Amino acid sequence: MHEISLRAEEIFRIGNWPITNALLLSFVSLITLILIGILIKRGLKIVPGKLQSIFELLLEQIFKLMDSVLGERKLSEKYLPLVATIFLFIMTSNWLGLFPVIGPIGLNAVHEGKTSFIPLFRSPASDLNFTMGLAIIALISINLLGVFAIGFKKHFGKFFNFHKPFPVISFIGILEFLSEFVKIVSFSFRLFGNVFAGEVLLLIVGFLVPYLVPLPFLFLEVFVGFIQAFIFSMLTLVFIAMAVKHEGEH
Amino acid sequence: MTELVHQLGLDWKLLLSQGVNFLILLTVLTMLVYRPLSKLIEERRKKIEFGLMGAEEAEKRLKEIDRIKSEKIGEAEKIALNIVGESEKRGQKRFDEIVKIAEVRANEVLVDAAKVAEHKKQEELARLTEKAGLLIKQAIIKTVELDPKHIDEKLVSEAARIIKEQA
Repeated sequence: MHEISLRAEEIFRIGNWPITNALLLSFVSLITLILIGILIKRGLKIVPGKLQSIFELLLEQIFKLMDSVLGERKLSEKYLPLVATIFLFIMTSNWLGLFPVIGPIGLNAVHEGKTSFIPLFRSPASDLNFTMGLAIIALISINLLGVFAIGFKKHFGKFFNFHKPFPVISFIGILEFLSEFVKIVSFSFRLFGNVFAGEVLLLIVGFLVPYLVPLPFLFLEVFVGFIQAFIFSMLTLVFIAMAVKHEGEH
Repeated sequence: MTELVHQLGLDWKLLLSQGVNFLILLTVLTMLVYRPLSKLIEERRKKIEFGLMGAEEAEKRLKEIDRIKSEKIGEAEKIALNIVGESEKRGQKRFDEIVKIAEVRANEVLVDAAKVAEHKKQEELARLTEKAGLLIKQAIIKTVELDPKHIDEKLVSEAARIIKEQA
């Protein structure tokens, strides 16, 4: 059993740029999704094929969900790329990290005087850099979309205002502003915690009873991988909906 | 704080790499999948809408055509009945005319036939008269040649025989 580490292990460097095993699997997810995208684009027909049908079904479900939150299809179409990409990227990364062949492939490296086994790939969401990177992008996007939708003044007026009763509302506004940063922490640590815990659980169960017993846990992690991607994208969607609507609308 | 960040493995370079990864994916998927697919779904939706509208219109037209068809059939039946009635009347009239003509023609034929028969009768009578004259003449000649005793009897029988042969 390799050492459990909160940090993603560095595999190699390009110049002084570190490439970790989590980043490597993130690249694999990226390439997988791009390849699927190319396949879909090439086979795009008015009468859909199998792959296109699956993707259309998925897209239609996301649309329905977004319609129920945003209220209209036009807005759903506008914000679909961000929400769907977050969902697909996280889900693909989580599921790729669960492949049984992913764990055993690795190399032995000397770290702080000790030789230890470092897996070549690691589930990207079990590295805080991945989850925090996504959370930061999501939060920046939410605020930018809010600014584009209702204007800079109105959007940031939610946080910095001097409405009566003066000190209370202003204080709530500042708390709201601080909560934007807290969202980054809550977004990233929720995903990281769930996936990392799952990785550790699978590692320990696989170490203790290697045959059959890890299977239910593996299925559980497949489900967790989907649910966490869903929660991340849904929270992003809800925050977008809150940001792009005027104060009086909600 | 630095130790915590170190322990958690937070590194701005990795953060940036992951962020760039996501942005690349967002751009590529938007260009390759979301936009074309949304466009295609919208196009298909419009086509289906158009098709449904067309089907509705076609159904309306079909009903209208059915109605017109029923009307036309009704009209045609009426016209056909009129035509048949008219034809029957005209046929009957024509039949009567033909029968009348035929009767006239038959009468004419009968008259002609009677005339021909009369003519033939007259001709036969003339021929018979002529033959009878000849017979009488021959009979008289024979009578002159015969014995007066037996003249009556022989004459009569001879004349009868000749007439029999001639007939």
